[in-house]
Amino acid sequence: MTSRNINFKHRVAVVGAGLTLFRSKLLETPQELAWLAAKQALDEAGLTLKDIDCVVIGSAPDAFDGVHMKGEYLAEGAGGIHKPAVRVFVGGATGVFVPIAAWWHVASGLCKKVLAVAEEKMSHAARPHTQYVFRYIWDPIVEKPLNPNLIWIFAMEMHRYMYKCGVKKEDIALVSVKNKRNACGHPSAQLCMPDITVDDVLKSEVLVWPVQLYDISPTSDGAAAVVLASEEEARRITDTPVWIKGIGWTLDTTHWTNRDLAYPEYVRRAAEMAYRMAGIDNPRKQIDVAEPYDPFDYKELHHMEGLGLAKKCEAPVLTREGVTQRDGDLPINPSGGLLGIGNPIAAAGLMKVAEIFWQLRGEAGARQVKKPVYTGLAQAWGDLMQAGTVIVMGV
Amino acid sequence: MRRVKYFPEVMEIEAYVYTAGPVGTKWLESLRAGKLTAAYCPKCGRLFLPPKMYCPFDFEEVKELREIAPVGVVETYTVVERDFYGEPLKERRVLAFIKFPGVEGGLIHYVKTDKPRVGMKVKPKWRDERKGLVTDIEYFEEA
Ligand SMILES: [Zn+2]
Repeated sequence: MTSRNINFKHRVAVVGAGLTLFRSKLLETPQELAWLAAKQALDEAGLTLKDIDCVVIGSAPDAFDGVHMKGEYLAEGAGGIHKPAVRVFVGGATGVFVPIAAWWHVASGLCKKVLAVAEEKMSHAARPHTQYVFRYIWDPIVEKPLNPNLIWIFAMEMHRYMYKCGVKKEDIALVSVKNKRNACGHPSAQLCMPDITVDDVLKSEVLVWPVQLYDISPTSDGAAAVVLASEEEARRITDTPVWIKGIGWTLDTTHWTNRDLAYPEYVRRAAEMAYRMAGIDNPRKQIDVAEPYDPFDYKELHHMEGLGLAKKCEAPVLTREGVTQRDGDLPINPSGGLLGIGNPIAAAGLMKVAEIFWQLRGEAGARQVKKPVYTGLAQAWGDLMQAGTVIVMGV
Repeated sequence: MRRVKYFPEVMEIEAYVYTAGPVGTKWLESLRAGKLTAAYCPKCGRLFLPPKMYCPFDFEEVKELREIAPVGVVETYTVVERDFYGEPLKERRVLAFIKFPGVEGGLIHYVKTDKPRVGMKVKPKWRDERKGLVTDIEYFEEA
């Protein structure tokens, strides 16, 4: 397929990726986590910090790490000292927004080689619980007085999706089982569960019905990084660059009461933007492997539909039929996703981009999908649960 | 305050628990042992503070701390007259940025002196009971 990406000065490739362990608590400081991932990405590209022109940093709320102006704080570990460096932030969607922002640094001709780093250290926000950070995302007038819990939104969204599409919890639990099993092939994984069953998910603690413990990804510390380069540089650096073919991002209203809870419109629009750029008109056929954002099991289904990888209400059917398994016709989250590898917010999204990079290069090791793959997609979701970020990559 | 118009809220998590990092942890352990150390980069040979597991100059991995001579030089200082809440302190305190010869970076710490000056040589006054905190050095004093 030819790219319709003709208005940009430079084609942009990913030439290296790096990832720390994802764990509930890591000893390394946030700066050190950023460095671990950045260094690994540079090593993989065969570059050193001196080769990097610009740096893009992504991190979700300052309140997790407990350091205000986290972008500036992370800049040193991310390699941004004495270079043009910027932090981008769209909540949970940040991880995929980092390479999007890095893309325009290169596509514009402004920078030739960009280091893009995402980091999150949720364990610092220790007491009473990391979740408390989310107490302050609510509308202070109509929601806050009800003392809401973050999972409320997801419980209601999940239930709405189940109702509208006639989906059973058993069907949704299949996603969690698939991803937590997939994670066993990933060296960074926090929650590899090789023997987990649908029954285990259905019997796990009910948090806010219908959301149960194993429907949810854990809280994590971790960092991820990728190196982006212009075409000329990329061809010098590697024989196997992975091209960024399309990018897209959109916001819906912050009022979740004013959104279609059964269908993620914010993802559909972001995907359409990316597909237009990449020349994709039939994503189900043209995308070979995808990493949709899966902090909850039902969100993988939700997002597959928003991305056009399944028709409305069809994602649970594809899942049941095994289409989304690693050896299936459309492998979904072969990495193990957030449900399996862990969810250090911004780093989790960038982990997905790294996974597609490795899958398209045939370097995913035990996680490598069975069929040959040429075009892949990563997507994240966040802010007040209404930001969608999409990246399409190809070889 | 009219309740219908204003929604007061305190945006604080009850407690943050920070990690010091692998090299930072060693550095704190050496403080507890009464030793002043700095991170050592095997690539460029620089010694630097604050300690961390990478060299901020060339991105090399750093694992080693080296003991440094516990004699620093006051690079600049200030005199603190009031506490965090603006109340006058019983005793004014000298706060200095102290550099150590051959070490990049340095430490901020109290200096016990009536006559602070830039260029003053200072050494740490260690506490008898140390916990692995930067305050294991009670203050610096003229060397
Ligand atoms: Zn060095």
